[in-house]
Amino acid sequence: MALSREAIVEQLQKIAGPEQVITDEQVLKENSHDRYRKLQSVFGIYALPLPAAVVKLTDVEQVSAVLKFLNENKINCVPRTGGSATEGGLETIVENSVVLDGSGMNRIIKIDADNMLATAQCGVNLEVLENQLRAQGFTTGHSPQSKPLAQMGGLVATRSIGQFSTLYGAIEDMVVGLEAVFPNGQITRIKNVPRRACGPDIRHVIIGNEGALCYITEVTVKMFTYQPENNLFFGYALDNMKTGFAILREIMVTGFRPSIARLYDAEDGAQHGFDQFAEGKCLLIFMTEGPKGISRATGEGIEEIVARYDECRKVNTQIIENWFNHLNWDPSKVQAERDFMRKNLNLGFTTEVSGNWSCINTIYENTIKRIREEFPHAEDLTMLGGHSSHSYQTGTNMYFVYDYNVVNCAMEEELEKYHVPLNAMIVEETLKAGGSMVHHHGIGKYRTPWTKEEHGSAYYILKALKDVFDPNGIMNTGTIYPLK
Amino acid sequence: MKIVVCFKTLADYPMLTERDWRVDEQHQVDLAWVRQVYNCYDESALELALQLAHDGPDAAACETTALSIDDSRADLFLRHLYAVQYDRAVRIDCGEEVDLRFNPLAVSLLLASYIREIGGQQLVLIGSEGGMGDNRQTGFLVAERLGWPCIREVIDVVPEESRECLCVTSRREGAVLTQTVGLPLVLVIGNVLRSPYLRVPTLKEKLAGKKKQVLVLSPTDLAIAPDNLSGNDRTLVGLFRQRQDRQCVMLAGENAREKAKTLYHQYLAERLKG
Amino acid sequence: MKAAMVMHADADILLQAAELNSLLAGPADHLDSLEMWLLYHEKPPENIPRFAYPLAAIRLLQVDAPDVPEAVLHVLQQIQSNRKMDMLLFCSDGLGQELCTRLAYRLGGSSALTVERCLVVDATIAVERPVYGNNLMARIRLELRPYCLSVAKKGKGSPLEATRDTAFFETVNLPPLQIDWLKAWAIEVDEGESALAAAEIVLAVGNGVQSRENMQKMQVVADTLGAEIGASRPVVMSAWSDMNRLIGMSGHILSPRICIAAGVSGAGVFRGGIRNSRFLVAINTDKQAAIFEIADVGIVDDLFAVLFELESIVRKATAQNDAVAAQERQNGD
Repeated sequence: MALSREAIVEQLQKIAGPEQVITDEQVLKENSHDRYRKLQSVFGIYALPLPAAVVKLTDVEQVSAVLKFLNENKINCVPRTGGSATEGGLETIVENSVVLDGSGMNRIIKIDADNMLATAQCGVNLEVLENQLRAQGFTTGHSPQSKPLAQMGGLVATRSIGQFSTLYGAIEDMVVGLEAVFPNGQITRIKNVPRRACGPDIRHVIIGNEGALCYITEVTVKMFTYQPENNLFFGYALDNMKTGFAILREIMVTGFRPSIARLYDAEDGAQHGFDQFAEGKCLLIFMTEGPKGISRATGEGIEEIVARYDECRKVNTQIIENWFNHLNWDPSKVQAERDFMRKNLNLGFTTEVSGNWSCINTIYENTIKRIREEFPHAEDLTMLGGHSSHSYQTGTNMYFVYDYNVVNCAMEEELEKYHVPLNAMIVEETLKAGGSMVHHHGIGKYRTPWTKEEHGSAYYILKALKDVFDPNGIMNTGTIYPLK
Repeated sequence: MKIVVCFKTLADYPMLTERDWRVDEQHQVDLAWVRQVYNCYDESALELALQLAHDGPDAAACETTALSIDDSRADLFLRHLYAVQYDRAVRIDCGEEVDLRFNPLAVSLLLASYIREIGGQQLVLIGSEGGMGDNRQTGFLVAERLGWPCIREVIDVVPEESRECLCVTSRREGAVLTQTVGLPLVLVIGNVLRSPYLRVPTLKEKLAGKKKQVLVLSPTDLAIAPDNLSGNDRTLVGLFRQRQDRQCVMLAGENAREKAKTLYHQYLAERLKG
Repeated sequence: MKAAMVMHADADILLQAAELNSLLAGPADHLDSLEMWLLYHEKPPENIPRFAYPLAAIRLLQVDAPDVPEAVLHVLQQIQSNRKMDMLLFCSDGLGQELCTRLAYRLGGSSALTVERCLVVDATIAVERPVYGNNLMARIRLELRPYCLSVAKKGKGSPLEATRDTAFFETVNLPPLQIDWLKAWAIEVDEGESALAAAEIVLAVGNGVQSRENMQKMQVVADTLGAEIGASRPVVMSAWSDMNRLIGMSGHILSPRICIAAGVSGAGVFRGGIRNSRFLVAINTDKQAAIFEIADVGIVDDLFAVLFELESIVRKATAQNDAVAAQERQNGD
């Protein structure tokens, strides 16, 4: 028989200590969701089942004991650290779930400058780690917009990516070794070695598991030399996204690796005030970094390639540098957004997808066209556009951005009326063209209807992971894997 | 009722760092590369006017005008104001040579002339701060030039019940003042709590706004000779960044508790006693 | 040069006087005479500030409608036409600013508001005042007489001493102005304001506080420290704090003994409000935050973590002191 709410709390208190088990209603409410339900939370609406408790985790043995207990009693849990997720991955959709909060495990364990390895517990805020590294002349190379909020565990669990990915790669390229705990209490450590050929790369079972397979307690990432004095910025206005994609491709294929390579459409660019300098234009942005010679050579290469396209006009680099310096979300920006949402009933969402060079422009054009023509509440849209911000040898991503006024609609119905159908159109157009439906936010709980289609015949492998590692289905139910 | 809101856009100052504040020999700061935003008081004024005009029962009888004295960079904002349903968007362009930063007399002359000669509005809303010069005088001077009454530090305005008058709420030192007043009138807008931000236009409205023409006027169109603009009661003789005298001591410590301890024992314990 | 200070008895005239007094330092040597024009509504004040400069006269001006600047301007115009001052100094509040601007216009003089310094250079008056969102200071020469200046707010500082010597008092009777556009009015007093303005210890809270609930937690910290809470514009505009708690160029300009600025990035307009604090502590997670530029002591950390620790330290210390005091009292008996 399932344990009662009270019994769950009581048992958790025995395992973790009474002070570590929080049942304060406000805390439970805040831990029942993530930024997916941002408008509702602004109005104090918490529609999901509240978790039975939030457990403030302190060490790996305790994580193991707690998971073992939850597994034996088939109690669903939601692993959580910084809480900046956007796709519902942190929502407690099952009655009497337990939120496993690792934010208190926030020790930087080792900065190993010899081997260029930085080891941190799951609750270490990326910005804290990054600042410590920078003070010693190093960087993680990881800089997602959520850097001031996000913590190492969550960043790895969601396969996050940062603004400098084109040079440094995404989190999966940075993680060297890991420690994770599986639902049966098994603690696993993957050692830190530069490379090996000892069977499949098992790190990839853990990286991107979104709390649906295991709990990440410790992460070791690569360190890079920090030399911002060599950073160079470049900006170009142009008429068409298609040209922009072609330029991005040429730069990547020729062999240049700027740290930032972005392409904004006119609508999205206006959100950053670029319309004030190039009204109605798309914008290409590059930053090069690294050793002076490489940074300069990369910059020259970019300039040479762009010069071949008559459509492009150079933009004052100060504008680009200033944009770059104010890119991140900090708590005050999140607050300003909340205040604006409340007063203006206007909010925005993003959906990020990827595609090979041959289909990315099709994805962009078809998606925008379809939303304009088919979305039944298009008259409430206040913004619709997007940008590409992470390029690869073989293709790039597309980050769709859309804002809307909430009109004639209860707060509880806002997502169903607006975000859900918009998100669906983007995902469908992407899959149809042969791209991937999620580039870097994780599947969360709302893109699961397409998980099988995304993976096709390889879903067999994905499903096997769940069957083997979480046979009782207690790990973040409804995330990555569709609810049965 | 015809309403005009006079607004300025400003460089988004918090985006600037210490090294960006460089003043040249002509007392100019190059901010051309910095993104512009509405002055926050003007933004409140712009929204307040829309609510006064459109959300009441006499919406059809109201006409709203947004007016700015600026170069063509302001057109983007003026078309944005068309998109949020301003009826008219007007820009007065004085050319590059005229420096109006520290000349509220000239600014008020241009605004008052427009209102008297062309616009014919009876209600003027204007933010309390002004442009880069932070002169804080333009609203008062517009009232003087028009010979109209003026209310400062306004935080709200709604039609009075009979709709003959306006009910204006303003802040005073240590008090809130509510006045029922007739037109014509100049309102200098302060911290509007109820609706500090401008509404967001839909894509359709933005598209329609982009197609509308901003009315651009020169001083000559307002029957103002260029000499009249260069006259000023003051002259800028220096513009400089103030040196900060304090040297901030950063407290180190393992964690917040350590830092709080140091703060208390080394710096606050004695001072708290007074 | 003849100068008059225009003050109004409704506000604290000793504080107004302290601000105006500081402005006089520059032109003092060039003053032939200095008068005070004191506006009042019903009853003239009993206490008059004692200035560092001898007053040639104190003229009492009664106004019917003190909340209608047009009525006050009418009175000032008349007295100036008799007295013909070269310089008129106005208070730092909204009324002072409005009167300064409009009277200068009517008299054909020069005006400037938020004046931090007044200088005499080659027999002309120059002022320094903050511009560009308090990021730069401008020096401006005033070209036309009378020079009308409204002083910048300085915060509480030390009010001037009062004197009851009313020997110079001269009541000026002037015909009032008919106001027909004002149909009705009501005024409601706002309590919180004076508490912050007079505070010796201020906890200045910015956007980093993140919510109304957290703001209430800040109140607990403030109570233990014996501090009054002030807030930045974003906090006030989010309605986490009352408007009368606003710190900055358009709110309170303070000069407390201790100011703790927590979670404020330090935009120019905000910094202007606490710059004159005698001891300034800044707490912010961003070590690049501009607030550290004007702080004596800085802490890079989470504001809640630091302030809750500080609160607990101060609470324990206070309890200890109370216990010691109680013990001493007992021993004394």
